[in-house]
Amino acid sequence: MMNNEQISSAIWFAIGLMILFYSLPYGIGGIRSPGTGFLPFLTGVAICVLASTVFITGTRSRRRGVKWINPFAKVMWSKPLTALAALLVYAFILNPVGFIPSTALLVGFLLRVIQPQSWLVVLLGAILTSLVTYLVFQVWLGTQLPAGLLGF
Amino acid sequence: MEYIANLWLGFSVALQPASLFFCFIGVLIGTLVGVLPGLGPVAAISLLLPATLALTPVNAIIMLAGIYYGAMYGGSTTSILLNIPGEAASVITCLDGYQMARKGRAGPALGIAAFGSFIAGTVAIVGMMLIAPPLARMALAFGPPEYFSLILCGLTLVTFLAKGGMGKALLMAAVGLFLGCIGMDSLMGSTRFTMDIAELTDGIGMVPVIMGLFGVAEVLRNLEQSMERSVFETKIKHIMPTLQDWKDSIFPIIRGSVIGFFIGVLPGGGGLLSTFTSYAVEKKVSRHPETFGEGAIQGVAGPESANNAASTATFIPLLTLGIPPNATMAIMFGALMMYGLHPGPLLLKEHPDMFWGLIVSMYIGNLMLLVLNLPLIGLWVKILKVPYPILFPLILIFCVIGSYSLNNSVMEVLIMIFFGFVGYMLKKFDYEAAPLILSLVLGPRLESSLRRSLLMQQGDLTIFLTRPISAVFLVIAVILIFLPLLPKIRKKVQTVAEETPT
Repeated sequence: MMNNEQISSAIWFAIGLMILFYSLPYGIGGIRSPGTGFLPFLTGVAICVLASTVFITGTRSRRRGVKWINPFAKVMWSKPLTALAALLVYAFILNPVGFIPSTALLVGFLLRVIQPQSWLVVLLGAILTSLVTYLVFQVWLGTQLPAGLLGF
Repeated sequence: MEYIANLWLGFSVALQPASLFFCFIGVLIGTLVGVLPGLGPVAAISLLLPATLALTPVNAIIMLAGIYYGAMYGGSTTSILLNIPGEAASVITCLDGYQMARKGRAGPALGIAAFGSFIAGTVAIVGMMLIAPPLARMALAFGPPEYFSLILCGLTLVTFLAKGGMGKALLMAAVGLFLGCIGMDSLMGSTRFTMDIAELTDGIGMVPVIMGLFGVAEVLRNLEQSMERSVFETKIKHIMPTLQDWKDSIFPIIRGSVIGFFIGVLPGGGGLLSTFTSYAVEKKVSRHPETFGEGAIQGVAGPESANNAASTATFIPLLTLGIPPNATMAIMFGALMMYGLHPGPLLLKEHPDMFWGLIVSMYIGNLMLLVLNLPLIGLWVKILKVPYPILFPLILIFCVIGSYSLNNSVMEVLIMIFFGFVGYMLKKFDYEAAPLILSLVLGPRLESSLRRSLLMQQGDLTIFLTRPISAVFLVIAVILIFLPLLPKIRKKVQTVAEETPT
């Protein structure tokens, strides 16, 4: 099995190839008059070349015995994953539900699920965070936060 | 005479009540950010960026600068009391600062860190006053070829000491360049890679990318580890260093100031590298190098001074050349652009009030920090005790507000979440995000410089070599790329990079 450097560089190589091909329709132009796709094409080439050098480095280190190390071993990877999923749901409910209720829901969820706090801390944290951030950003600093159906 | 007139102008701006207020708010937030592990100056500045649009550009930039150098002050507190650097540049302070705290000398450690930072900050401001105007005058002669080579050289310098190797860092810089291409092509007026998303027409927002890569990713990384941490329980007394402490520290402070200033000017330099260099120098010149790591006050005084001098000096390439030397300055670059100011040699000529006002405000800010850090140390220690499981939802909400308020769009939040995931994965595979941010910011300028140069000379690439300043920058960039191929240097670079946390 390939090691971490080889796998990551292979992914970057594929991304570089995609950039390279998708920049073609924009028109690369010539060296006398570079087109819209000129720099994206060059960056695609650069990503492929650099990914190849990282792959070669990874291959050399593999020969020296550096194997695949699972970067998610010995860590509580479910916690960041849960937080990320909650954040994603939050982004989708932010506009229809409004800033204060959706923020209270997110903070309450994170406080209760990631490293469980008492219900008192959860409730206080959820209500205070949403209200104080609303007051500071919307009322004091004039930031436009999503109003939602209830108007806040 | 010219300097006196400039300083007078600076004082007349910085001593306005509004400027003083925002300077104070900036250094206060900065100290808080520096004290709280998990929220660095990069995320804090990008978070407050949209909120500063309501301020005048001068007040906004004074406040954002205050956050930056304030964080450098605050970072030392966590290093000394917790053995956890509040921000990356305070890593080296952990070595001797924490040992001093364990031996009951937390007070002098905190005291000398604050005084050293103050002296170094002052030295750097004087240096900046002297160097910036001639540098800006020189940069006025720069055309597109010089700018192209300078940006290329700057990006290479940034990748030189990156963790995970130069190849990976250059790869990140290339990815950043591509991200910078998304949106409107400034020369042709057509759009690229926008996927019919209206928010991408003006390009991918720097704030959501930074909030994602530095704010959200950092939170995710902290969540996967145990969140227990304890503050070193000690009574902090005798904050004022003794005469002997001063005797031991004064030369490290002076050396640290000079080292920090010169490293800070270099792209990729900044606080982190200067602290490592200062520590190495102090250990080398010390008569008792064996005491380093055991609580030597010189190991705190030198690096802390270097750190602050460097953070001030990093403004020089930004304000005179328009080249941000690190991720924080990249956000400052974006901030100045948002306020309608163009960082570069003309800034000093067109907006001297902003330039000199900022310099003088930094001096005043350094004084405020001395007052904030020493008597209020007890308050900062209390803040340190806020448990991370309660703190992190707040950081996430701040990130969301910072991204959303940019265009009042959920799409920006989604971009931030995406880059949060990307940043988390990059850390897992040992890729540094800083080169990506720098090239994202500099990408559009690099592209226009390259294309203008080629159009100017009808495709003749030798223009980059026939113009002397451009040639010098390119030669430096080429040397930097091939230098790590020499085995002895590669080993040294690897050692420094491995010791350097991101």
